[in-house]
Amino acid sequence: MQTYWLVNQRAINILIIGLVSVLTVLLIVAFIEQPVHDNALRTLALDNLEKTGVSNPVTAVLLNYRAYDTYMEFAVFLCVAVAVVPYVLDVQVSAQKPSSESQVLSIAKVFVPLSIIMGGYLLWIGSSQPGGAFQASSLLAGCLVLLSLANVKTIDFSKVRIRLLLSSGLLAFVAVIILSFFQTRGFIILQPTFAGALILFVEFFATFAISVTLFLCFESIHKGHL
Amino acid sequence: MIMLTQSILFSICAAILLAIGLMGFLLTSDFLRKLLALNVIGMAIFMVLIAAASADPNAIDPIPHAMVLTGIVVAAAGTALGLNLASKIARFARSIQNENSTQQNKTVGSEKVRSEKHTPDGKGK
Amino acid sequence: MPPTFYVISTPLLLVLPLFTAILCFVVPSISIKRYISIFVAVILVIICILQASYVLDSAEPLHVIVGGWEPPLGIKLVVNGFGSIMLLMTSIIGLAITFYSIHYFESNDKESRFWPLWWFLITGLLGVFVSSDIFNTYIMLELLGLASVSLIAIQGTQKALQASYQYLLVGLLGSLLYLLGVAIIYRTYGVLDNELLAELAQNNLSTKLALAFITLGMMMKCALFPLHFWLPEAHSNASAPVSAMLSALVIKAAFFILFTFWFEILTPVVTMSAVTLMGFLGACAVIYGSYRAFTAPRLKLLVAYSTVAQIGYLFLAFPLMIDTPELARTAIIYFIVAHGCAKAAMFLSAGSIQKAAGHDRLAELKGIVIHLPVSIFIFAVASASLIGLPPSGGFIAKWLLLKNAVQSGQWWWVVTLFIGGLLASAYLFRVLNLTFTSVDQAPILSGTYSEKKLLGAAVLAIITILIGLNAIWLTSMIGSSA
Repeated sequence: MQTYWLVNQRAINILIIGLVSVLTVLLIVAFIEQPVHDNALRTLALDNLEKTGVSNPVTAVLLNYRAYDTYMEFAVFLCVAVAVVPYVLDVQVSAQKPSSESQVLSIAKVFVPLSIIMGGYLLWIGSSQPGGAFQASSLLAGCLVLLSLANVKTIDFSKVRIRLLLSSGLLAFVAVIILSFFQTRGFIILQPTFAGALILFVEFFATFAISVTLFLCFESIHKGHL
Repeated sequence: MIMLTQSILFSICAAILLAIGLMGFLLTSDFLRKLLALNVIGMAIFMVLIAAASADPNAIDPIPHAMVLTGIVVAAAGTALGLNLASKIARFARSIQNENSTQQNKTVGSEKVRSEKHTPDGKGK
Repeated sequence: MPPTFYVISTPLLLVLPLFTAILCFVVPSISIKRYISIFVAVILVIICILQASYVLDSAEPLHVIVGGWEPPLGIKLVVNGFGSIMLLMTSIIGLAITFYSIHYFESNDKESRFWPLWWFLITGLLGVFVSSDIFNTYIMLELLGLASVSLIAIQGTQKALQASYQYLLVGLLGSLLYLLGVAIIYRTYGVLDNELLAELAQNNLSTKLALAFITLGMMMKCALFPLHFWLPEAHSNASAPVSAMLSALVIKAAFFILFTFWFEILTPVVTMSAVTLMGFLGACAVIYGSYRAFTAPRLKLLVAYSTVAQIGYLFLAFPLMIDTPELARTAIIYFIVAHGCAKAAMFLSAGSIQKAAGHDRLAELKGIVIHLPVSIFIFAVASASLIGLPPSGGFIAKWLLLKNAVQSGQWWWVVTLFIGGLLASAYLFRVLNLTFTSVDQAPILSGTYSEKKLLGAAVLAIITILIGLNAIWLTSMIGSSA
């Protein structure tokens, strides 16, 4: 009985390996024989760049041409935050004070101010160079994680204002949508003169929202398995 | 003979990575490893997109870069939710295990026993 | 040019639910969350009714260019006939379930977690049905999947958590396979818009592989046999309003995407053997799902397996699309509407039974009809639609499929439809039989139970009968929107 089950499992594994290999070979053949498309979209994107209010083409795509995708992506992030908040409230809060000889605390004292400045720079420079809200928020989330590892009490997730902070990215986007509707009578149509400012407004709040969400996901697992 | 450009090489590596990730997902039975395998598959797909963006090294297409940025964020969100669920399942299982062992052994003051307390809905100021 | 209202109706459908979700998350008071939810649910129904009547009357789809950039640079939202009917269904079933949920939850903690996630789910559903951009569909699918997983997980039991984790893994894999298809398509054609892609699509290896990956991914998400294994656990361990929405619409969203890709975007790649394979898998789903439903020990597990079986019917229509596309399309839409309303009503009444009795083990629910007459009545009406008894909508849907199969001479599907109907009646009469048996064996019910929350479910059950009685009017409306 035991050997029968093993053989069956072996057979299924070999079948899986075989099927996946066949698919991969087909995929490689498809990549080799099919040339990449002609870059018509890139020309279009670069031609309209000055109407977008930013000069980095990737930021223009993210927050102007395809801003609807980014809007929904903020919604995905907030959905995960909403789902995880009860888990962080469930765990017992252990009142541990940061010890003065802690090495993590000394690293944090050096890195946290530097990272905050770096994050602000990344957020600002996103309109002309690679950068933007997501990159800045990862840095800020790293700061919060570092502080949490050093047992510094950072964010109390039971307060209502933290929920407001978590939703601030999506709220800022909804505000921009409503305001730009009254200005241009269209769905997420940003007027070229204001586009740069509106994009920065959305990115500013999104940075905080995303970094606190990332920290929330870390904290609920970290505190639960101490 | 095919032109072995950087883009084609990247795409082939992406296909192999996809195979590794897919086989990892289907062959392992550990649920956390399945989540990791999903991340590997995600990275492989992003590699395909970036390779498609860099077909012409002088004219780089920005649309796939935006797609990859969005994809990374969405994959990170999904992984975060998965890890939190796994953590909750593990805590549940551990608390049930602790209840059973304390009922059997009647040991007092076990340090590892953490019962789950539901904090009241006190969203006060 | 459509009147001004219709320019903002579609964007309103995407902004209003998200704003409601944020409000439900931030505001602590549970009664405000309920009031806001009912209010917004009613507004959504009104918007969707107006939109659907405009689109179906004028027989031309609504277009919204997002951001002022025409595709391929920007994203377009399209509300066509099929989409407007799905939007209408989402809002009406959403309203019924919202009303049910107000009276359903016993703990305020669970309910305050439910409401924001519920509105994220509604946003994801509405977004999928209006999306005309393949990458945008991916993001909507992810929102839908993560919201569904979180909603199942709020139950808090060990089984619910494990079922939601398994659903998360399967759902993420499905979305990733879909994204792989999107990546291959972009690499080949350079556009992401549905209509532009439909013009450019050709039959080459890359496109075939892309369609294969997309199909695999969507098969996982709509639980087509043999990739259905996650559904019974997930839908039976979730709370009743969540199960109702998941079975009624979330599965159909994945089917909607699959249908759009096969028959509207990548049509040059579709071959006769491919659709026959899908039809064969559908037939297997019908038979296997019905068999497992017949032997299921719990009520909600039975209803979940019934969903696995009924999804098979939708795939039976795939081979019929090659010969008679308009007729098959009408049959599919009719079936989705009938099944969605019936399954939602069925899950809501099953939830009411479970709450009153404290469990849902079928063997111990004998004679429960004297305590819960409304629930059993709604269950019976919904069963009539699922089995395909006249004058329900399910009968019309199956009749359309049958007529289609006979017309194109594919007799195997006729046989399968008959067997499926027989099997469905077997497992559904099993439930009704048990609940109507000898009154002196009726269980004593603990706790209070009221059936007023089933008002929405009753409306859904009435709708399944209404669409059966008004078949001619509905089929001509659906048919003209093709």
